[in-house]
Amino acid sequence: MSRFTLRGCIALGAAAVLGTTAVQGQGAISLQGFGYPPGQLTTRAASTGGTLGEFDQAAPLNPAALLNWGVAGAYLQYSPERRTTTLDGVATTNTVARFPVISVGLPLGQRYAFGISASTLLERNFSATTTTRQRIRTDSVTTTSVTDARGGMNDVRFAGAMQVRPWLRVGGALHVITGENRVNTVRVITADTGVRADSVTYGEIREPSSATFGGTGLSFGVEISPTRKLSFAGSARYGFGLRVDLNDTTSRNADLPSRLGGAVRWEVGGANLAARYSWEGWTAMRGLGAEASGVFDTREYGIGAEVPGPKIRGGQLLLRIGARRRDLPFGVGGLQPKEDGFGGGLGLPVGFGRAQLDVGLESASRSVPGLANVSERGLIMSFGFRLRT
Amino acid sequence: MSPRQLLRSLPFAAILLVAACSESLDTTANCPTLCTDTRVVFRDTTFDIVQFDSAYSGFTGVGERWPAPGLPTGSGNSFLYESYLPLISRPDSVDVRQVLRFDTLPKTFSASDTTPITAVTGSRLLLVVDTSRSTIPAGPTTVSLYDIDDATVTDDTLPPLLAARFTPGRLITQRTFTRAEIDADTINGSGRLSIRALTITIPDSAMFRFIQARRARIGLQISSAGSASISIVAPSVNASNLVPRLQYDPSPDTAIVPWGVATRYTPVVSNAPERFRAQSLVLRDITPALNAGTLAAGGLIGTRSVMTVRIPRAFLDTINVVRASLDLTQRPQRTAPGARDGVRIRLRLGIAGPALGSDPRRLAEFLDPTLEAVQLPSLRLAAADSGVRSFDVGRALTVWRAQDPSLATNIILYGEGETFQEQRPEFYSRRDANPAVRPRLRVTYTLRREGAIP
Repeated sequence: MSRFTLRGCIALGAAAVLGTTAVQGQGAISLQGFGYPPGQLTTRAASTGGTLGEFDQAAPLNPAALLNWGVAGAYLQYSPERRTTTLDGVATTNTVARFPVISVGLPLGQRYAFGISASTLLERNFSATTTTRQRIRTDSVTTTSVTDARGGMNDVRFAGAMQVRPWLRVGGALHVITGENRVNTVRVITADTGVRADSVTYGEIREPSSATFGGTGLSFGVEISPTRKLSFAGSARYGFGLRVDLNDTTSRNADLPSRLGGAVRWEVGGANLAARYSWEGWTAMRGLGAEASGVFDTREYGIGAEVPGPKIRGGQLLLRIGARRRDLPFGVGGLQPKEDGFGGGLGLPVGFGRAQLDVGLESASRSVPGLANVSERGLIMSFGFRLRT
Repeated sequence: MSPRQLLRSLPFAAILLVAACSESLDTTANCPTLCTDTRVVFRDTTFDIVQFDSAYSGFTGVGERWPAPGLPTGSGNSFLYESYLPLISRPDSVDVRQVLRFDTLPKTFSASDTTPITAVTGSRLLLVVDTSRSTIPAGPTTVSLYDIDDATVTDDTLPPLLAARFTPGRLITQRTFTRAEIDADTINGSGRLSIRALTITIPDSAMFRFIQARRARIGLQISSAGSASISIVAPSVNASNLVPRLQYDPSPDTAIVPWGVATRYTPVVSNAPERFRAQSLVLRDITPALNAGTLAAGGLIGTRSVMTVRIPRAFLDTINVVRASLDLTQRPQRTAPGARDGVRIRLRLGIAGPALGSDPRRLAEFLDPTLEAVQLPSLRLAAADSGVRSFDVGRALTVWRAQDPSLATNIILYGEGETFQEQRPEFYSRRDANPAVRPRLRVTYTLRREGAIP
């Protein structure tokens, strides 16, 4: 079922507010636990299997890559996903809209650059309606539960980078975790036929709850170019405390997941061939909840290429292709889901090189080893708008 | 960005807009496999919440009060009123009569024409009967009107004095009717199929005598070969076409409209017995006595029970109440009259306020429809039955939890068939020696969840 909603329009208008809005969802592989990690990848990086994420100045992964801005610039990304979850042969389709990355870069001279970015660490938006028949005392009743979850966990990064040598760039960043999950469940209990409806009333159960996240971390990155055509990049994020305040009354504490990633880029005939590996320690979040279904560390592998295409008016068209495989952090019944992605995209110059529109399309296939009757396929469109002064 | 660049980006913005505004919601298919916590666990517990309980008898109508005592209305007054007045004649047990008071009978042709009345015609008493609350036999039933006024007595509200004036010498008139005659009459615009008009012609000479005295005290009595009862709309009801009225025509001139005089009542809270300008007289009540240590509700002469309860607020504040019931254990009365016939028993809330104080009998007398804005479900019971009866109080808990905890919280148990159904189910009270049969609050609930934490 598809319909036009005001919420969606408001979401677009409020694009400056990072995270996800105008979303509907349901029980899905990618919606377990605290939600789905988009990966903090730009459209360009996602179109190349995530491989250029460590080199992309707009991506909030490697602070050393900030120097790649060259001039002051800004980046905004919109990535809707059409997600089809199949359970026992029955497919259900949702659409989710994300604004996963916003970033600003500000070079100071040739050797320094600063940047601020905000990105979605975890996204959790869904609506689920379930009905169950149960017994209250001697009466048979039907309970209809409507659960709406909105919000996510965002990573606001303040970063700086320095050109140490012509072949060596380093950077550091402070990460502040913000965000909120609001979950509203309304359960309506109705007596089944035959119950003394005139003499019994059942209360409606309303369970609004909110979880506000707060945490910090530090990250460091490096980019090494031993030759003109070969580059290595790596970054690491160390997570400090991560706290969640429940309904402004109680709190739980854990740690922000640490992350370690590395990538290599090789330029061949004007084309960039790249590979990337990343590890993220999500188990540090176990103290916050979601332990029942499982919280796991994740690994991600990717390969990709960015190839110059035909010249068009205003600049060079870029063609991108990539594939990646990764784990998802939150389990289904104690089993860790996997995700395989394959995609590509275009980089369209706009405004005679002053801006660039990145368009990407990625097919993500998700599965849960051990649960053969469940699968999920996501078609992620991605639009990144990069503006340079 | 130049205007041209902005123009070029418009298609992109359009794509964003379309994509952002589309939604699809179909959520059930993947649950429960991929949905967490879809099951609701219902828990059950009971509390001994009744701190005090007692049954009171002698009620002859459902008293109501609007609004709640102590709460201001637009006019600054609170209203006390009752909806119906019963006339009951049960030769073996009950005799209930009524006194209607008219203090302002006009002595002139009209409000503008001050010509003194010298004679009247068309004198009659107009009553409105609710047949759904009446037991009218198929055979003849008689309503008798007595002049029970005595200007020499200052206090004309004392029941023994008034009862003694129902003598043949004071008889004004009578009307004998059958059920078929009552059923044939209707009142235009009454909106209720059970409402019927009952008109009793009064001798013009008697009416002229009342007019000269400016007031009338009319006693009403019902009689029949067997049992009979009628419920007439009470004077305090705010509907001028339904309340008891005296009507008389002061002039043969058709331009002069006949007077229709209702009993007068004062729309303020009053503790005086004449607050309704009508008065029920119980001349005979030999209904079965209540069993000691029991609660009861209903009966021709109404019995009501008051329970003062203490709400376990601390517990209720931590849970979601799914269902709450006041469980009363019924005490069977297999030999009582009409023991096998059902009667509807209902709970109402009562909160002590400045108008009524904390007298439990007065709490039972004035049932408060305001606090029962969400009417509590009732149960239809037969007096001969036994076992636990669960009166639903889920909505009442909402009121109780919100009220000032320093106020006493009371439940009044009453019968909807009061004054026209003789059945009076009984229940074990908190004073019973067996704890298992005492009243208790049973709560079905769920624990509150922190849904934001998966």
